[in-house]
Amino acid sequence: MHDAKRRQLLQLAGAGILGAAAGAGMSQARAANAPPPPSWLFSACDHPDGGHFLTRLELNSGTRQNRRTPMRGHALTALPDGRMLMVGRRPAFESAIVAFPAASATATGADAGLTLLQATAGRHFDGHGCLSASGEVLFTTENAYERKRGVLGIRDSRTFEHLGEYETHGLDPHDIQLMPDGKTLVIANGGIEQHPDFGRRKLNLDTMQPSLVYLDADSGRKIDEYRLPDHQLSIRHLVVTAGADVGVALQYEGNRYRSPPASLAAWQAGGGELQLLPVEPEALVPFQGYMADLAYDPGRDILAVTSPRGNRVAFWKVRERHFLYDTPLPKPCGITFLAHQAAFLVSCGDGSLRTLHPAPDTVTGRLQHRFADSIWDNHLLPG
Amino acid sequence: MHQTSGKPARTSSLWHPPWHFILLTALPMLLPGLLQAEKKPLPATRTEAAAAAAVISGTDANLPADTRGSNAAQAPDAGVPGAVPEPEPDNTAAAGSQSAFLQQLVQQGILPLYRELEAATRNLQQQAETFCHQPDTAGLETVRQAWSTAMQAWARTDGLLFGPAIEGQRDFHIWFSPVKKQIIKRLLKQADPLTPDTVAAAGVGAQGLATLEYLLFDPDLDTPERRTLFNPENPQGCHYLVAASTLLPVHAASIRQNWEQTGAGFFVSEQEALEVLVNKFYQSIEKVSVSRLGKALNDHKPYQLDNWRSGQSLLVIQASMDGIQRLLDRGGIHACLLALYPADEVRQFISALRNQVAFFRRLPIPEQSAFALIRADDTEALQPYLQRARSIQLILGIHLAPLIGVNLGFNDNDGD
Repeated sequence: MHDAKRRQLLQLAGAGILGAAAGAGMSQARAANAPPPPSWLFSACDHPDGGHFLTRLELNSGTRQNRRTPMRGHALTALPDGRMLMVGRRPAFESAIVAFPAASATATGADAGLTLLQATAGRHFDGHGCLSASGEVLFTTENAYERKRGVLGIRDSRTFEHLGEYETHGLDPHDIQLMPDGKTLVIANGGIEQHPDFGRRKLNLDTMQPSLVYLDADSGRKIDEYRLPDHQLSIRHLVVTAGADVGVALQYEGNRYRSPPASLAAWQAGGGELQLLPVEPEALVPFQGYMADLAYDPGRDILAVTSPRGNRVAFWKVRERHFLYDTPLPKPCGITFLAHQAAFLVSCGDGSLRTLHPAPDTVTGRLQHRFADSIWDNHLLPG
Repeated sequence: MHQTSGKPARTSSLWHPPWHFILLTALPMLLPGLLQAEKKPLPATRTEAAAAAAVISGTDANLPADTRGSNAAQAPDAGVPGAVPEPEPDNTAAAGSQSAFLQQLVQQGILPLYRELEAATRNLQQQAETFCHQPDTAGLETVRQAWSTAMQAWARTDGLLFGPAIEGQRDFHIWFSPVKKQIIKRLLKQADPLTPDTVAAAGVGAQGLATLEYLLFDPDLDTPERRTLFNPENPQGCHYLVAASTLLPVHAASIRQNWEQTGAGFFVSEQEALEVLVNKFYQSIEKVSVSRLGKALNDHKPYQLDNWRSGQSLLVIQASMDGIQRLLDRGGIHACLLALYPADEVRQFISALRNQVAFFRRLPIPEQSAFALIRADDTEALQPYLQRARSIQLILGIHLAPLIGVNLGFNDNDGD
């Protein structure tokens, strides 16, 4: 990184350490203690007949605004100026920045402004991003495919000027979150080698080495690195608690018929070891080797993880390291915890949004909204 | 509101009919004739279902007459010296043990396709060598025909892009597109005679069937280079042709050998085989409606067609569908599905799938290539390809897959 850009980055990032709460905004909703009740919900979605969209939903009324985008999106990051970044689903050479009209406007999605953010040469976006504590710096997970390296793209979150890169110290960086200290980034290196010439072909399943890596947000220095015992458990999605615990949803790349994985979720208590969350083998089978999104209920210490392949949502009591149960839902994808309702909100492949209220032995559910023309993508963001 | 605990039943009220059930209701309206029911009442028991498989795998009187043009796809093993005639399909496997289906799948479905590919690529190599002894126009045409046969043989394995086919990225060594034109042109200018080793070292973008198509058909090489490309006085073109075609049967043979070694043991269970194959079939058909035809057609971008240089895009698409049908019938997949899932609804969609694939295979090949038609904005003859492909996608992906417990969309093309 050039000195001038380095100084600019330090200036932007440093300014935010003191003002984390204001700047980090909705992107840190997962880590916040008691965020205000959200009014909106954002998610990428596809139409059954084709077409990619970013949707903003008014949670109470169910009013939607759909903004068509040229690429399939994945995760979302709320930008400091009120716009929403929808990071392109890997391997994406662009991401969408959408300015929805004011809440009071009745405009349709066609009125929403769209700006495209291009990947830099030799890189593609890998699906996720997050802001620095100040909100001034945007980090996106990217694949430097010619060099076979995972990197974080660093940009000014207002101008999108590219300020540089950090190494993620692993291949296939996917999810990224800012830790509650406002200074540390945690990155899920999925470990899978890909190259856009070969589509989404996984090129190194025999040798993949996923890792959970912590970086200093100001310098990119690697602070720590954790691995799981099974190298074919791809570390993909993260949830960070206010106490700096990290939950992980996993994607198994081995042959689950021949050698099924031991688990599909992991947990790292703040400062501790990264450990698989136990689950009986027969209870694991329905998840079909893949967990998607995850969310944490701090009050009840419950981790909820979606299994779109298994048409289920699974629940663990984390500190007790105890698998509670799973409950059926049609292709559950995104999940977030709504503190004011003490419930998980789940988006499903049938276009529905449902709340789930887990208890020690049971879970109750309620249909909130359904849109037959929306196939929700893996993540949703309340705001 | 509903309560559930432990491992709740799938019939919980949390489960509302997904959107494909809505489509199911509207399907007959959307796709006339799609769910054309068989006139013969179908049996309900497993034994009867196995017997019915033989009926279903036979000729369907509802199919349109063969209206293909003169350049219609060749019969699977026609024109391939050394190809072993296939035995008649044996659809009794599903009534027997689990391994009987897997044996049939590998021995009668998968291996014959790779043996044909190996034979076709060997023939291409031989024709290239013969041609390059004394290059002339007739010889070039023979090599082109051999390339076309090999290309179609490869397309017939399109529904098998897993396991041995992708191990070590073998498939990319046989077909990689778009080709790396700069690398190819650099190789052609190289002073030392090209060998299989030098071509292999240049990477997958400068070898395989797509590269050979470029050498044999690309219009940019027609004048003035085409006249000199295979000129004995400037033999690098022929060195390249022979070297690249020499590599092909090596890769085809390695896939065949791998399947012979693993045999039915490649799959742990019937369900695994069905899951993998249905996913791969779906991806293959999706390629038709998107990258192989749909995008070029809808965006009026003929260069986005696969095989636009040879003008054989539709033949290759037909061949890919032919391969799927052979796997469904001769590989015993239809029979296995009927045996495992005797419900009427499943049977109805299996029948619809079979009919639609057969319809697709018999769509007429226009006199002009798809490339020429899209260029001329005269795409009426291409629309049925797109419509049929989408119909098959609907049946396979939206209806049949959920009924047989197969999840689509999570594979090497999906995830996250």
